[in-house]
Amino acid sequence: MKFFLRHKGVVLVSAAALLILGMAVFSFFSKDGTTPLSNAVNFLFRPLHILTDSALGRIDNTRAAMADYESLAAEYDNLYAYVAEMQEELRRSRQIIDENDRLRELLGLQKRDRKFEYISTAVIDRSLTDWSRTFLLSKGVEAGIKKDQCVISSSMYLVGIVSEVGSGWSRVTLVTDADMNAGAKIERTGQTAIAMGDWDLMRDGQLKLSYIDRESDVQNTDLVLTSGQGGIFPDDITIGSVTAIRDEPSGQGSFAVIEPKADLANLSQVFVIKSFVITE
Amino acid sequence: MGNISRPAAKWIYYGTIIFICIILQNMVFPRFPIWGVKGLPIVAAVVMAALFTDAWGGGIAGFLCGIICDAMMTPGNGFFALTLMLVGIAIGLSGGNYFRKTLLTSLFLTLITLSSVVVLYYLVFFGVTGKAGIQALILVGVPQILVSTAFVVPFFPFFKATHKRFKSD
Repeated sequence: MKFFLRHKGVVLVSAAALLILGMAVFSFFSKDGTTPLSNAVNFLFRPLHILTDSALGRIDNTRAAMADYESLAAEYDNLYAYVAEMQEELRRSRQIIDENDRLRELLGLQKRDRKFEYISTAVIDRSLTDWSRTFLLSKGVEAGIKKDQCVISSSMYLVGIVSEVGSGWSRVTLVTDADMNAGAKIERTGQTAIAMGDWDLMRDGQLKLSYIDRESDVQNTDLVLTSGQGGIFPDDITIGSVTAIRDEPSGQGSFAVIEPKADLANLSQVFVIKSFVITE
Repeated sequence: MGNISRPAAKWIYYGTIIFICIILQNMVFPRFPIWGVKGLPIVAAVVMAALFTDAWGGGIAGFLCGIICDAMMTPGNGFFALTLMLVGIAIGLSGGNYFRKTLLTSLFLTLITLSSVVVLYYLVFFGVTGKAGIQALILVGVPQILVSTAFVVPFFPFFKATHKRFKSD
């Protein structure tokens, strides 16, 4: 103890504590949500993340494929039937689109247009704690990724939002994370609400749809989309579907449980929406 | 060890074990959790590094490991750097005087440290903000403490052997 105190231990501990406090304050006000120290650590460990994720991913995939061969074969049959059904639906949709275009032309209405600019990036690591749900991405500030940009899967399902950006890496807070909040609407009724993470549901890979009207007609299997309110998320991005309706623990009102459409456990590639223009 | 001084060589040994713990915690367990949770072997490594060295060694190891934890885990914001540094100093200061360097002592100190760190983490980031109820602590915190404490068993012999080898320092 005397040795530690004699050699300015208290002074150095105080200096380290001040440095840590400074970093915490810096990260709170930083537009990238990170600190130079955190950026340097993640940049240094990036090659290791890529290497281990690639190696462990192969082991994981081989193990899963071997264990679930029968269920995969059944899933293949189901998907085969689903594709045939979708092809028929696509054919009918094309007819509707053509009809819609003709009617728009007759009424002189401008076509609703959505233009997105994407950045494709790989997922190099998953949540590192049991207390949050995040992804580490292989691209960062140099690719044009910024904090609060929306992240989607290849099927245009909402994955999450960029919460930290560094050199050669960025972190995405997933839709299921307890910190997540997004303006949402129910596709069938158009009713708006808030899709938000909830710690209890996070562990089951779900989130909740809060602030729904008492008189609302939310039903299981209802599709929940982003409402576009707030300007962070473009509208009409699929979040997930309703799987249950429960009462709030406070007893005031109810909420719907949403199962995300994006396969968050198995995503290896995601798309960051760099910019979007929606013409109504 | 050639031209490398004995204290430096000792820290290369300890550093290697800590580095393995960093890889396990941040790259292996996120994909292969044990007992449904992702362990925190870095905390166990800091406790043992502090126990087998001194306040300076424990403090520096805790500070550096904490910075890595903060950078890689959310929400971090200096929480781990500060707590692990203080834990390292506290164990380093008391280690030589009050504790014997045995497996049982390491297990006990790691269990106490992990319990304090996990409960504090829950209170700061989840309890106070109301983001998660007490069941979060029971369902995740308790298994995480137990799984992480178990890492003392495989790593203790390496710390003990390194300490023995460089005892004259």
